[in-house]
Amino acid sequence: MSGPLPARWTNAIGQREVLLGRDTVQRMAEIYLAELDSVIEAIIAALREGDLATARRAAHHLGANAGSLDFMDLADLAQRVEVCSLHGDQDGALQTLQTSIPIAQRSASLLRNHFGLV
Amino acid sequence: MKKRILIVEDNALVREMYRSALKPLGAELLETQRGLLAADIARREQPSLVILDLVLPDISGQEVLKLIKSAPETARIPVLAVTNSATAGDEASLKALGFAGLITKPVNIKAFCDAVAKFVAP
Repeated sequence: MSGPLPARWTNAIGQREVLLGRDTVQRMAEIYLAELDSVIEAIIAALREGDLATARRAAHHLGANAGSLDFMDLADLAQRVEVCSLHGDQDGALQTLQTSIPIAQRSASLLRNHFGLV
Repeated sequence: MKKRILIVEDNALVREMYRSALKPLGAELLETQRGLLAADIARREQPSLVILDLVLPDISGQEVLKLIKSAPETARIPVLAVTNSATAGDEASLKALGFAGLITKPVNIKAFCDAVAKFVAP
């Protein structure tokens, strides 16, 4: 990723580090990065199979992870996927998830840059 | 005697956050990722508080609450619901079910600690 880190997110993650300690937030970031691709893949697979209960739980997981690291746009989109899954809107969930993928990739880049993670 | 808090949460990142956020309270933290185990742990360990995610891999948080509240040994233990606004419903409905309160995800750390402290203060 190129360009400066967005100021709002940098401030928010800085506040998290003050409250929780940088080591804790870095461990949270490592968990986030380790799980991100597999959680998104799990949502896609579940939606393609019509398993909306699994899609809903995985979207809930993604939203909690993103929100805990102050990626609020991604958390909101994940919550929309969860709501679509809850109400049987498979197409809406898939479309919303597709929108969220580049945002998820950007969140991963931000964390890697911030913590110097590979 | 050290107070105990039972955390019922399948999300490793959120558990990591809870451990650090709750450390200043000095309580012993018990953890499970499975709703079906939560009632047994509560019966055995008699925590001062249960923090319960409503969306779990095995059974719902509401079902866990029923198990805890239906057993005489655990019925008095307060249970805080944790979830996002997609799942939560309103706090009044959750309180009517028997929850002591609602914490909304994404968790505001200070509000979370304040809510928990009410139940484990010395």
